[in-house]
Amino acid sequence: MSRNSIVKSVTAVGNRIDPLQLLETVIGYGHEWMVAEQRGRVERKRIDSWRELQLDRIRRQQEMLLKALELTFDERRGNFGRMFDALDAAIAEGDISQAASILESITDLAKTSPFEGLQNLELVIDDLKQPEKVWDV
Amino acid sequence: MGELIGLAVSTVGAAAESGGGGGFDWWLLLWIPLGILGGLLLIALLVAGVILILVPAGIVAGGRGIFGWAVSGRIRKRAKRRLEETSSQYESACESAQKRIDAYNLQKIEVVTTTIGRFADWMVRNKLNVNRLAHDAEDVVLIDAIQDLPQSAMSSEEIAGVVLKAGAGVIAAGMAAAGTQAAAIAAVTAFGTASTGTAISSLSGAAATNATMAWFAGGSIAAGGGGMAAGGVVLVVITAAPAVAILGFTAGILGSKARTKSKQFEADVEIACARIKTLIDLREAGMRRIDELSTVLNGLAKRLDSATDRLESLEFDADLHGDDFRQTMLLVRAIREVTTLHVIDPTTGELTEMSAMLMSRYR
Repeated sequence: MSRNSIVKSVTAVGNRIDPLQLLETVIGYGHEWMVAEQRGRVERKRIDSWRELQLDRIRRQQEMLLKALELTFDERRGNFGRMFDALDAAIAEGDISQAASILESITDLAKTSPFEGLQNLELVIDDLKQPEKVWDV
Repeated sequence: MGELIGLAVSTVGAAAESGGGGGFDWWLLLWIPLGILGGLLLIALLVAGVILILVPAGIVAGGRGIFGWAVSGRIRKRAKRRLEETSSQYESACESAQKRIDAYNLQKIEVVTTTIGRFADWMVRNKLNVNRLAHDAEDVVLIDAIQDLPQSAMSSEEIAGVVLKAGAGVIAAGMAAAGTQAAAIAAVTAFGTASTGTAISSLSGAAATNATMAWFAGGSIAAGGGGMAAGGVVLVVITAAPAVAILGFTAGILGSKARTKSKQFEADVEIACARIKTLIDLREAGMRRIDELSTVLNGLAKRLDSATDRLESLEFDADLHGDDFRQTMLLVRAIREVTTLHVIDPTTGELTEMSAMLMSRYR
């Protein structure tokens, strides 16, 4: 393609485009970039706050559950220990009905879930966060 | 631009003709070079505005865009590495939990076959009918069911949108650049003069093209200008300037968006990792349930062993030793009850009682 024909074709395209419109287009893109930059900064700050909020919520929930689990298991261990002592005493005394009753308590406690209380505990905590909740005392 | 100047010329001509039959106001012709000069000045200002202000701004935007992409890539890489590490920690926690559960299952089987088995053997020896209950060994498999973690914060629609916009930007930049070049060539062709002093508009073909190109560099080399080559460079600059600006701004927009999306991805990953770590800690705590059952089973098995020892030491007489037998049977039943407690939920692979809590809170 000769230089002349290039100039001609470029001129042909150019005749359909207004230079002022071109300037407006470039300025429009510049404006769009500035808006995108500003919007991006705001959005990134929002993401940071949201992340911190979520992480804090998970941390608090985790701490609460682990602490509650620890207390629950400690309490159950103490209960099992006392029940086995009582079972030994009942066996030593030959008190079969007492031994049967204690064995039943041991298996009942073993069957109960140490995690049930935790769900209730979470419900209580959730309730505490509800200002409209009315507590019957 | 040419049309504007043409309009000015025809308006001036019309005014001159209608100026009364008496005389022609020749001073009005001064508007023609002024109009031409104004048009050229406007083009120069546009070009200068684009080149001096918008192009550097576009380059800055493009630079920021590229920086945004680089930061975004680093953020994503870091987040993915963190996710992999946490997933690996979760896997090893699952593995050790599985080992603990396997050990408890073995303990159950051992208690049933050895401890209860020993009592059953004693019963057989004492001519009692025994129905040995098969031990239903749990097929315990700890199924991992980690919450689906976001692999990418970008949805395909968003990607498509960004790509389309970028494409439109490039096309618009190309069209705009062609427009600037064409307008500049048209203006020079209409109003410029070649180095020979001939009006370019009066030239044609290669002579017109060469003269036009040379005009951009201040005329031919012979006339002290930059010549055709330099003119071509100026023309390329005029053409490339808006394209560079628009491409820079587009890159800036894309970079900013990429950075924001990576930030969201990183936040999602951090939250997912915190949840996985909670699951790991809870699972570890949940192993205390296995320890508890193991301790209870062990306590009952020890007492059953002692009770069986006592029975074995006796010359068994149902009338005399009925209570010893009942006591031993109570222990056997208690052991049976404890060993048939299912600790693993086969559908979720979690500790049975923990399943509901974990499912509702952490998945």
